[in-house]
Amino acid sequence: MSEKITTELFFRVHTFVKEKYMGLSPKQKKLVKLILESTILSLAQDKQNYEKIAKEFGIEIAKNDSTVPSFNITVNVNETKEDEKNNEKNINITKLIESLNELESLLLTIQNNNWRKEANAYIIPLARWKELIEKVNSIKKVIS
Amino acid sequence: MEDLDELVRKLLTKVREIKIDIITQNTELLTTHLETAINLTDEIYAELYTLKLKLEKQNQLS
Repeated sequence: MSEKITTELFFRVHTFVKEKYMGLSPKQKKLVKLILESTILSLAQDKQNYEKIAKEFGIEIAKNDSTVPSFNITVNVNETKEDEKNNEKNINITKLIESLNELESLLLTIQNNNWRKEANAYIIPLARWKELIEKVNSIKKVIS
Repeated sequence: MEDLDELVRKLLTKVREIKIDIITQNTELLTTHLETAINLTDEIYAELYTLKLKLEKQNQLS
C-alpha cells in the first residue's frame, strides 16, 4: 500500500445520507472514510492493507470515544487460498455424484416395489413420492 | 463441506431404510422415514445452492 498517495472516489448516495454526512465533524468524516476503506479491502480480501486501515480505524475510534456512539463492525477476511478451496470442492463433488448415483439406484428399487398387489394401492402415496423425486432432481440440477 | 457430506450420508441411510420398509412392507415407520428423507433433500439442496452461489461469485471475482 502506498500510504501517501490518495485519490478521489465518486459514487452516489441518498440525499438524506449526504445531508447527515455534511453535518458530521471532521473527525467523524475521517471515521466514515476509514470504514469505507476497510470494507473495500475486506471485500477484495486484501488482508495486509486491511489490517493497517483497521488499526488506524481503531486508533481514531479510541480518540473519538466521547463523540462517537458505540458500534461494532465485524469484517471477515477469508485467508484460504483459491486453489485449496477449488481442490476441496472438486473432491467433494466427486463424492457427491457417487452418492447421488447410489441414491438413484435405491429410489428405483423403492419405486419398483411401491405397488402393493393385494391392497391394489401404492405403499408410498404418489404425491409424496413425486415430491421426493422432484427434490432429488433439483439437487442433480444444481450439481450439473 | 463436512455438513454437506454428513447430510448426504444421512439421506442415503434414510432412503436405505425406506427401501427395507417397502420390501418388508413395514408401513409404520415408512411415513416418518419419508418425511425425514424429504427434509434432508431440502437441506442438501440449500447447501448446494449456497455453494453454487459462492462458486459463481468466486468466478466473477477472479
